[in-house]
Amino acid sequence: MSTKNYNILIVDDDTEFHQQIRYSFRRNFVFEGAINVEHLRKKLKESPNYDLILLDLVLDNTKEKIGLELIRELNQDHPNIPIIVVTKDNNVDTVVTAMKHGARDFLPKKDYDFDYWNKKFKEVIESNNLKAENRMLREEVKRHRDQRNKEYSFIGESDKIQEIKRILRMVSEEPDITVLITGETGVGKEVAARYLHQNGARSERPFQAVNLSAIQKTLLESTLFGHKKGAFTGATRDTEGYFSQANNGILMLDEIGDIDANIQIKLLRFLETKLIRPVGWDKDIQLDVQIVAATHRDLAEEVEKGSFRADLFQRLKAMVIEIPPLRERKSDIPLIMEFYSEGVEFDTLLLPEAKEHLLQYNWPGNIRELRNAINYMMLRKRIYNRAKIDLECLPTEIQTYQTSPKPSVVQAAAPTSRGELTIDEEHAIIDLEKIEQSLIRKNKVKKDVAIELGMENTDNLRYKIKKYYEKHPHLFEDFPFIKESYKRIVK
Amino acid sequence: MNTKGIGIISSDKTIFNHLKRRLTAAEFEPYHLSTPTEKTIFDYHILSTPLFIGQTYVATTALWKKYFKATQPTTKLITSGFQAQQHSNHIDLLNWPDDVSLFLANARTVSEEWEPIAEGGLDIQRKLYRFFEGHGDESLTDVLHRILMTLTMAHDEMDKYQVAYTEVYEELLQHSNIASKWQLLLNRWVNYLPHFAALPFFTTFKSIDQALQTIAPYFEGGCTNEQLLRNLDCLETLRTIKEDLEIIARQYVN
Repeated sequence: MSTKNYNILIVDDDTEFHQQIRYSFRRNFVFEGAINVEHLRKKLKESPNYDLILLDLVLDNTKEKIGLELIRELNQDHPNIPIIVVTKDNNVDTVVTAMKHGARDFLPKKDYDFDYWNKKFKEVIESNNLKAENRMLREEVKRHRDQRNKEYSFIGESDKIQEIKRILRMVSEEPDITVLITGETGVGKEVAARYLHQNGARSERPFQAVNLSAIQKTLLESTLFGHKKGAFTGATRDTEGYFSQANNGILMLDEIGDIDANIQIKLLRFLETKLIRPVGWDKDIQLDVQIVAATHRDLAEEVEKGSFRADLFQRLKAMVIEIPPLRERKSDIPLIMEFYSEGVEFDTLLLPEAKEHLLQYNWPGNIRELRNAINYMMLRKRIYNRAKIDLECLPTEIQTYQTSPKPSVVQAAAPTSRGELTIDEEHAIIDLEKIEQSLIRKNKVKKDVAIELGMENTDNLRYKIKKYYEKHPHLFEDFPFIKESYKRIVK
Repeated sequence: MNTKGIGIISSDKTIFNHLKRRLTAAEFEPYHLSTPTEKTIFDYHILSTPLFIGQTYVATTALWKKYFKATQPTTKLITSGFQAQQHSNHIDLLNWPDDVSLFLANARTVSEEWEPIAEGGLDIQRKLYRFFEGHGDESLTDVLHRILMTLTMAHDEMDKYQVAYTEVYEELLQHSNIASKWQLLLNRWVNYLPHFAALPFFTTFKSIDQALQTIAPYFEGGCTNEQLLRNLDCLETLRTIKEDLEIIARQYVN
């Protein structure tokens, strides 16, 4: 930006000084003037968008330095306009007072120097603009964070949730403690982690959440710890990892039970020393990051099996918070529904029989499933042009749940030859059924399927299918579309 | 250091002669100092108080003490006059010490903390403060800085941006009433100068006076002649004057 566009207001009772400054700096700035306090206030009322005020301290015949008090007033009423004091008095006390009151700089008239003043005007204006930009960016970040926090609100008034919230608030007062959040998939582990962040000493600092199982194993180390340019093929520039991005804040490591031994060692080292070493670097970096780990796995069992380090587990289990499944806190369903249906009251939204079905359903997919169900029901309600959600608007598995002790999809999908299903298998079948149906509806376009199922990206879809395939390959026989698309989806 | 020499600062010849006679009798070597030089270093300096300068009696001890503290920190400054006061560094002319050698030996150096006696007369420190720091009607440096700022701006226009002098004169010098400001500067200078005679820094004031006379033709000609501005080196001369005055202000004005 050319400095010619910067608009400076001179405030001085000496009209000769106005004329001299206008003349000398005419090539670089645009000037307006005020010769006393009333004139100044009038000018600011007419146009409060000056880039800079040059303020003399003595503005009338009383010789009182009324400008010193004016600095405070101007800073309060026009915080975005920086002030440079330009005056005859260069007494140290006056300079200190002016700066304390909020002046950005102090230029004694007796030391006039065109180049120096020109530089100062420009510097103060541009640093102020930079500050204003920073302020705007901070506000933007805050708005974004508030929006994210709203999306991730920890909804629930049941005794269990109230107790968890109480514990989280207490833990949030300990910004260095490592927290392990456990619970079934979809119960809101990230929501709990964000609640901890919002209420803690690090609330104004970054919150980063990363799903470790969604990242390719070969890229996990550099994604977490960063890398130096040239550290490996494709590393074309120095890159910060999630740890550095979360410095001074909280890093949530979701699905911690899925990381390999190499990353486990590095994570353990960080928890013990707060040091990381980016890939390809020869120096450690000290960071201040609070770790919140989460998993749906039983880590004790993983330790027994030898797939998870016992020392890391010991570190992580300093504070374990278990989030209960939705079926154990059904009294929260109306509140959650109200939240996701944008404040519409539960009772006014549903007909009694639909309400009954929702409350009786066991919600194996937990909050995530409930949220998807709400979207589904609201859409159906509009499609069927119903005043309230009735049975027909409910997802099939909820409609039919009452008729059988097990979800109908399980019945439909599971051949009798399988015999008794584990809870894990039941969950898998429910998820796979949804994916199967969505693949049919979306013509096997994985991106559309991910969106329809409320996933953030196709990585989540790929991860989910891969995970189920690794654990329960026999179930895939009943899902021909998934089986057919498997290679394409998980590649 | 001359251990027997004593520098005497006095505006009154009778008093100087009296002091000279008394001190010579005590085997000291008194010298009259019209203006002090750092080359003349004595163990003792006697200041006749108050000094009579510019038709006014002036209290100058505090200024001289500052001067000697900066230039000869081990010297002893003794005031001498008709004030009947007991003081380690004051001699009452009507009550001369029985043993002046012992009195001088017991006097305190200028580096030690002591307050001069109340000598009467115009407080020259206050006058000096007004000269430097006063506002509007009193300050000489205020008007000097205004002239200097205007001339600096004029030279910037001509030298950095090749603007013709005629335009600079019309747009800047004339608007700034620089010629009348010069007259104001001279009036104040003439008014102040006599009060500063026989002060430690008066030699500097005399050279400033000379410099002002040198550049006066440019201003007295209404500031219309570019050649005079350049040939008399008005801007540089005023800058030097400003710097000299700043040195004095730093040393003597609190």
